[in-house]
Amino acid sequence: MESGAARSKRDELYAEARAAFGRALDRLAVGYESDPDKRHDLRQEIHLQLWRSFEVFDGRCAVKTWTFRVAHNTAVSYINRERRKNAGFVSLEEIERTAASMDRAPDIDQQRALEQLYGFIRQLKPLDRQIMICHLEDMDAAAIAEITGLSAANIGMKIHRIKNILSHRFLEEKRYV
Amino acid sequence: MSDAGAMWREQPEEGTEVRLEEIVNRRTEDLYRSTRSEILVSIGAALLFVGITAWRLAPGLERLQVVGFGAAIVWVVVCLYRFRGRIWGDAARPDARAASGVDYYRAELAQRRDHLRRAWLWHGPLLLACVVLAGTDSGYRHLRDVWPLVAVLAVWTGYGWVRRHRQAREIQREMDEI
Repeated sequence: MESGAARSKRDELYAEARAAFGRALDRLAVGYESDPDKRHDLRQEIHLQLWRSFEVFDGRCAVKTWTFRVAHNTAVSYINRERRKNAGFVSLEEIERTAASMDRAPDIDQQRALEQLYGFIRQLKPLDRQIMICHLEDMDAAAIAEITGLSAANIGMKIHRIKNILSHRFLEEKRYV
Repeated sequence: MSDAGAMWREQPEEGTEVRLEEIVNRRTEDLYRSTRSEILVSIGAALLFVGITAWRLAPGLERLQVVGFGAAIVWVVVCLYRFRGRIWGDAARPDARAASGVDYYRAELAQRRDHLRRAWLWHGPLLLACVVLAGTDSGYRHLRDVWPLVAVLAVWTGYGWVRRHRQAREIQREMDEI
């Protein structure tokens, strides 16, 4: 049985993470599930696992890193359960190979571009999807490496591919190109 | 067109809010429903098994079979009484909605763990009926004719036993965490 102090510490950490990253966690769920009802379930699952996980949080990494690790891992478990119903996922490398041959729509509006971005993210394999979402959340390679467990060099290479794909496939990117 | 990162971060907010109490209460109710359906399915399977076997063997039903199947039915009745709260109780009991949802969830986890550890109790009637059938001459002859099915059922039973113990361990871990 846990003590009241431990419970309150966990609740504090959860409240802190929720306040700081709640919106980012919502966006993360969008990257994993398109159906609004199922997404609500996924968000609930992410929050529950996050709350539970803070019981064993030992401060060896930042709360942000911990939060995104738990959220991504929960979402990956979710899509693995759902994978039976859906088609398989593709890697950044596979997408990059076909991106150059695709036409970019000259005047797509913001909403459509966002839908395209969602579609692109949701077809990625779990690890690539994590990297993509973290990158869109404006995290640097070192932060993404800490969350995913890959080397920063590997992440750098993946980000380079993401930039290529984004610029070829949908968006005129001032920032990324 | 703004850049992808900005577009991603500025996407519309979700319309529904996630509330921890709601999540915990929902999981509590899910656990409650799983437990109830397991008990009912197991008891239903036992009754079906006894019913069909007794019907098929009706003319030459041995004394041991009559006693054994009778005991299985008594066991079913005892199970129904023992688990009446779980079977006919309201999943969304008032305390599930109370503020101390976490404590209620922990209590439900404990009940679920005990339920899994005591599977012999609610699986008992079915097991007893199988043992009675296999242990009597006429039943053994019948089972010998359908041995592949018996083998599959035996493997399935073993797998179920391992799975339940694993689930009980996972629940214990979850209880330790919260």
